[in-house]
Amino acid sequence: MEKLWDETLIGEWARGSDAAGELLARRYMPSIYRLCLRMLGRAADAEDATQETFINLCRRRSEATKVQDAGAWLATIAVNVCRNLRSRRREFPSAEVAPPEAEQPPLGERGDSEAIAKAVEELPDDYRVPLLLKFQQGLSGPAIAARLGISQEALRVRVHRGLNAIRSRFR
Amino acid sequence: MSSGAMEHPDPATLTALGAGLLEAGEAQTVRAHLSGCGDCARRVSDAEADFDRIGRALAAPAPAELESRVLRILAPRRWGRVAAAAAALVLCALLGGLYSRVRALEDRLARVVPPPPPAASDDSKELAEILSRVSTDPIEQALVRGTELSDRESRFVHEAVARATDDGMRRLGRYLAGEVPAGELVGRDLLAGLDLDSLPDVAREIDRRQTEAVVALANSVADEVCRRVGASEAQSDRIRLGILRAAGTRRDIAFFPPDMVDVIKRMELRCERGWRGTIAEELTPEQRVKFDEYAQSLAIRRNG
Repeated sequence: MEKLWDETLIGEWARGSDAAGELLARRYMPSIYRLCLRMLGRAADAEDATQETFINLCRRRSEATKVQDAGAWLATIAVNVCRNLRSRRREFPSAEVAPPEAEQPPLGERGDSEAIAKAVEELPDDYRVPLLLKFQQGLSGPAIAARLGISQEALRVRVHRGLNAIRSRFR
Repeated sequence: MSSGAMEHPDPATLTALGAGLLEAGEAQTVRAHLSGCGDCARRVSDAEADFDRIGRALAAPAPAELESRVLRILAPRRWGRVAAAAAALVLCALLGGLYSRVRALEDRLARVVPPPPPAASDDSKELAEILSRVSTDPIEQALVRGTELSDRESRFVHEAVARATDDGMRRLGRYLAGEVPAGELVGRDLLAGLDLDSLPDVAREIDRRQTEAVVALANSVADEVCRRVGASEAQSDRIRLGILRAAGTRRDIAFFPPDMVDVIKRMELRCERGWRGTIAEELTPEQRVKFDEYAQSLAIRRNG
């Protein structure tokens, strides 16, 4: 039902409905902002990236009528926008943490939310993006794998390594 | 997954299960293994707990003003109306209950107050001149000039009256919620900040206060519009009737299925189909500028 509604919504918007555009904005702007925030680490940059994501959506309006998963599509646009933004601006921090080889103990009660969020932000994209698509955008495993152009096996390895890297920050 | 229920799944698969990434069939197979393997079950349980913390840690509120910026991108014709959007939802719900009563009142009012003859063009010119001095609002100007408009322009007037009704309905919502007494049902500022949480209370109140509220609506909206535009007595009657008629023409709203949230969403789309582009297309460029300024002022007023 939810997905059907999304299809209707983005289709209506693509055909010119401003009301559908308004609902799209309300529905997806908060999660796209959060995604951008964790991709870029700074609120002002995340706002810019969120806007640019929706501007890109407008540029691709004609494609929108064929979109079956609006959330996944938008998230993919947002990830690309963030990557482009980072490559254009060299001042972005690049303190990426490589995942450790050794198996790490679980987080348990260690680390507060801020520290955990920062640990996610500092993951390399390969490990960070799948986590964001899953835990911020709520995409399924197959949807994430398809959007990233990787197999589901590769996806689960990335998620596993990403979790391991986060855990390693709180040993 | 390369392992069956009797073998240990690889660590990445266990993590993926904890993350909710496995498809149903594979997840079931792995869980069957977990029922007999404490080590793997603990790994999955640890991953679930950690992912739960990570998911919660990633939450962050979006800045309030970002919504309006995105709306300007996705809904440029509509973004100025966003300030009133929450109240418009209440409007939809209210109209569902009020529709039949509004139509009945309209019929009664039409019998009591016969439609006046069209205003002489000189009167209209004078009125337009007065209006130009007291208002820069194209909606109000169109309301006053309504009797001499072409069909295309009349459609705009219809939208303008509907808009005035929106204002009245927002006021009505606050009145029904017990937030303001009937005597204060004047003034657009009263409508700011209508709380959607009050909707269930509003709905309960409708039964008891319906008639009184509709009459208050008609009077308050008509009084407000007439005062602002300096309308004549005959025009006041037409405006009053027009406001009720505009409410009555929203027949969509009479079909109100049980799933209110879904219906309200779809109703917004239906309203938009009827309204789409009407205001934007009917206005001259100069009027558009004024209209946008006006819409923006409403948004600012609400946010302020």
